[in-house]
This record gives sequence, structure tokens and C-alpha cells, in this order.
Amino acid sequence: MMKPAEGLAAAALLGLATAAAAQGPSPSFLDAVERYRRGETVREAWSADRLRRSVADLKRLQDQSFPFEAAAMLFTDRDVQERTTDPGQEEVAPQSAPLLEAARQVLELIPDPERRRSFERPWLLAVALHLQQHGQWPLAMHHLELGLARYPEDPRFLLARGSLLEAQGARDLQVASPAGRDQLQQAEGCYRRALAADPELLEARLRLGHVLHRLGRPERAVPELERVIAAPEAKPRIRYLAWLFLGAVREAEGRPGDAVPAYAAAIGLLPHSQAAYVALSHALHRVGQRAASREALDKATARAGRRLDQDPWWGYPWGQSLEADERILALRLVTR
Amino acid sequence: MRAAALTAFLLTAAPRAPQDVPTFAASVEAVYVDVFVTRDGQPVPGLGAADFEVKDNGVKQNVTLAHLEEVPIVAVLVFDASRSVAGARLEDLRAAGRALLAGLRPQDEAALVTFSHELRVAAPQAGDRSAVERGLDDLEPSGVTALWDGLYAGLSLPVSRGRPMVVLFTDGQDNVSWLGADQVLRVAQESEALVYVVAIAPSEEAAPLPSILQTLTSPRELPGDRGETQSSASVGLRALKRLAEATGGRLWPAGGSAQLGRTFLRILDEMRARYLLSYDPAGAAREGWHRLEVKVKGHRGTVRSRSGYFEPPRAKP
Repeated sequence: MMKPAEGLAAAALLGLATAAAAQGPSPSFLDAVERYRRGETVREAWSADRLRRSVADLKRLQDQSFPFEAAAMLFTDRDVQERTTDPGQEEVAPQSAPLLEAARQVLELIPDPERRRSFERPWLLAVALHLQQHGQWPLAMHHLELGLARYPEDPRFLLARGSLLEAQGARDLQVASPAGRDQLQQAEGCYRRALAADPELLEARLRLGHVLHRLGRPERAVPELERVIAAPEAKPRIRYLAWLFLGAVREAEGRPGDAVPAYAAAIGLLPHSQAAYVALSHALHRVGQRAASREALDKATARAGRRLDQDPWWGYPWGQSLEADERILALRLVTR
Repeated sequence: MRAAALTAFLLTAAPRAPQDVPTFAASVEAVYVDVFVTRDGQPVPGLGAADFEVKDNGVKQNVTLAHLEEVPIVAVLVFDASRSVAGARLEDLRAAGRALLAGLRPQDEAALVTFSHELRVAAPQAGDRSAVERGLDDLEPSGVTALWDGLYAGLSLPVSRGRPMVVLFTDGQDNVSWLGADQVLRVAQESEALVYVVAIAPSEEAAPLPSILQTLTSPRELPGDRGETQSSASVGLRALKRLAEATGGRLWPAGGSAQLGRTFLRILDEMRARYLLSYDPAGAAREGWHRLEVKVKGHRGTVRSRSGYFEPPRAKP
């Protein structure tokens, strides 16, 4: 990611503040961008009309040194501040995102293609995840598709799109909608393409195994999950989920007894997690080991914890959207 | 499912058989069926064992009747503590929980399980209800919702003695349970607990679901019955209704959270107006699903009881 030349940007803003009043950005807009660059929190209201004018003014500006990235992030951060739904939502009623659309248009104005790509690529991904985090699934998908249209085999876009499709599919299957299966199949396609681009992307392989399980194809799910478990570089949270999903496959096959060691292996990796104990308790219940089942449940409830990251399963349905804040922060820092 | 908690109580309770009260013989092999009989919407009192006909997998059984005043209720409260409960709803829930505790008799016991994404036994089963009251005070709504895991925990808590009653408070939304509805349904069928679901509309900021609660007041119809778009909450409530009815309990739409207290007390009223039948199963295979049919002989009335029970395979040594 290219960091805008700070000296150039400041000089450009200073010069433009007076000269551009007639045919460039307004002084108040330039002032807002400059304050943003300095790290101030800019809480100005941006009406639709003001946004439109600001972007139109920038389009007339023929200055490569203008900090377009900071202007885009000024709008992006305003959207982050204004979004009213709590993070960590399933899909909620659609809200518009005029600030993000304005930010995207600003990034389009970066004259140098390489400079534009180096910022736009992570911006599209971060914004998509931010929108997903706030339950704006169609808008999130729109940004992922924009990203994939420009960077078709980027494994991060493919993984994020697959995760969002997986979330939609899981929800739709819950309500017995026929769309659910189709979405899971599309997610499978995304994960396979992501793995073709980056065979070491273990999260894609893990999710591929899970989706195949949800699609009722255990014979294809198991090898993927076993590859994740066997990968020396797999982080504990990834391997934990792979064991959990392997246990779920065994239970779905009517083999709860074979699920027990899988859940126990998950517990061995992350002993402070809770879902694996619930899974173990239930599997033991199914095989008639009631005392052991209750003991596992006792251990589960002893591992209560409010932080979503205590148990990787708790964050799994939200896919990559849990990375949204971190990714936006990285973009913010690069513009300052 | 043999009723371990009931058996534990009934085998140890002092015998009491006044002339006008049917005697009740408990054995470790006994099957218990908690029955609610209504006529024109009102509970029918005063029935005896001879008024009931119970068939286990189609085989008529010889039933006895417990004297309910002697059998403690074990109220396992399973409350949604996710962020959707925050605000006025939380205060109403606390007040309703306290009202239910106050409505219990001295010999009854209570426990509190809460769920958001995490499961928490806020208060284990005890006759001293102060732990449950503290648990209610300490409720701090946050996070997302593992409804089915929470209900599983409520059903699986060890109940040492009495009639277990699970009171689940929920808006039907679930987004992070490990277990699914069908898995918990089966656990409920193996449990002796009566499940009462107190359903409330999802919070205002969630997707609008104006029809859910009205529709749930119709006993046989839920969103989706007429092919309309279903939300995950309405599907969750439909599955919960099926589960509650399979145990002989029911789903109560609470309307607004201000009505929660009244709803909880109605559940207690219903528990006290029920009949507890028992029989040693005869002529039926032991393991597997047992379909139950309960009728009232010679009386007009509607009978609600669990639809059957699942006798699990014996654990291999």
C-alpha cells in the first residue's frame, strides 16, 4: 500500500485552499481533509448535496499530489461513526451508504493506476467487511463483487465472499429457503478458487470442509478437514474448528461415538473454549453416557466468557468481518 | 425415559394416601406423564387415576396418580441474556423472574441458566432462591445468541428431586448455537422436564416481525403456514413450540416485556392444575421411541401431555 507523500499532500492542500475555491474543492472540504490527515476526529455532517459537490469538485481537480486516500478515509470514517446498528449483526434492514459511495468515487480519481490499486484493493475489502459486520449484507456483497471484478483471483476477496455466502446460506437453510443450498454451493466455489490462488489459505480449506458438511457430502468434507488438522502451520483456532467440524460430520453420519474423540481433540487444543464441551456433552448424551455428558456440560458452563474471541466457534458465523476494524485502522494510519 | 428426578423424590417421600386422594406407587422403572386437562379453556380439577386412559405404543397401561402438593417443582429458568434483552426488557425480565420465585412453594426449588453466545449456570438448583435472585440481579445482557445450546443446558442440568419445569425466555433468534433444533428436540423427548417457552418479539432494531406474536396466539398456526416469508426468529419459535408441546408444555406469547410477570405466574398456575400419572410400562419394547396417548374417560376435555418419550439405548459398559 502506497503512503501518500506527506509533504506534497500538505503543500497541495495549502495551495488549493485558496486557488481551488473557484473550480476545485471548497476550503471547508480541504480543511476537513487536512484535519483528518493530522489525526483529528472530523465529525462534520455530510449532506448528500455536499458530498455530491465535493466529489464533483475533486473531479475537476487536476492535481496528482492531492491526498485522495485521506479524503476517501474521511468519508469512510464518518460512515464508521454514523452506522447505527451494533457490530456483530446478522443481516438487518438495509441502510444506504452515501459516504462510502463518495469515498469509492474519490478513490477512482487517483490518477496513477498503481497508486489507486494499492489503496483501493484493501479499502474495498475493509469496507465490505465493515458493512457485513453491521448486518448490511447486500452492500457488503456489492463491495466484494467490485473487488473481484478488479482483482478476480484475489484469495482474500474470494474467502470473504465465500464466508458471506456461507452466512447467508446458513441463515436461509435455517428458514428452509431453497436459496440456502445454492448459496452454500457458491461459497464452495469461492473457497475452491481461493485455494487455487493460495493453497496455504487454511481458513478457506476449513470453511470448504464445513460447507461440504452442510451440503451433506461428508466423503468430500472429511479429507479437507483432515488436511487442515494435519497442516503444521495451522493455528490452534483453525485446528480447533476443524476438529469440531469433523465431530459434526461423524454425528451427522450417525456415529456419535466417533465424534467424541474429535471433540476431545478440540478441547485439547483450546481448553478454555465452551462450544467443544457442549458438543462433547451432546455426543456423550447420544451414546448413553449420561454422567460423562453432564460432566462435560459442567465443564462447558465453567468456561463461560463474554469475549467473542474466547471460542473460535462464536466468531465463525461472522467470517472475516471480525477483521473489519483492524483493516480500517490500517488504512486510516496509512493516510496520516 | 424413566423419570429419575421424580423417582428420587417419590421413593423417598413419606407415604400419604388419604381416602379422597389416589395413592401413588413409584418404582424405578416407572414412566411419568404430566397431564393438563382443560374444558372450554379452563383447567378441569378433581380427576382421579380411573379417569385417565394411557396407551404406551398402543398398549393400555395401568396408571396411578400422584398428589401434586407433595411433589416439589424444580423450576429451571433459562433466560436469554444476549444484547437483545438490554434496556427496559431486562428490568421486566428480572421482575418477572422474581415474581415466579415468589410464586413457588417452600418445598419447590429453582435454578437459573443464562445464554448469550456463552452459557452460564447463574444459579444451580437449590431450595434457597437467593442465588437465583442474585443471578437475576447480575444479568448483564451482551453478545449474540446460542438459544439451542442454552435450552440444552437447561434440559441437561441435574435435577435431584421433583418435577422439573424448564421456563425458557427467548425471542426465538439464534445465531451461534452449536446444537440445532432437532438435536435439542430429541434431548427434550428423553428428558422428563416440561418445557414452557415464553416468547417475546425480537428487539425493535432487528428486522420487523409484526406478525409473529399475533400469529403465535393461534394455537396451530405459525408464520410460514401460509407460505409467507419466514424469519429466523419465527422459524425458531415454530421449532420451540413443537418442542414445548412434545414435552407436554407450551409456548406462551408474552406480548410486551411488561406482560412477562403475568405470563410466568400463569405457567405456575398451570403447573399446579396438572395431573402426574405414573405406570410401569407393560407390553412395550424398552428402547426407542414410545408414542403416548392420553385420554380422559367419560369427560369432555382437551388433554395436553408429552407426545411420547425416548428410551435411549443402554450405555455399553
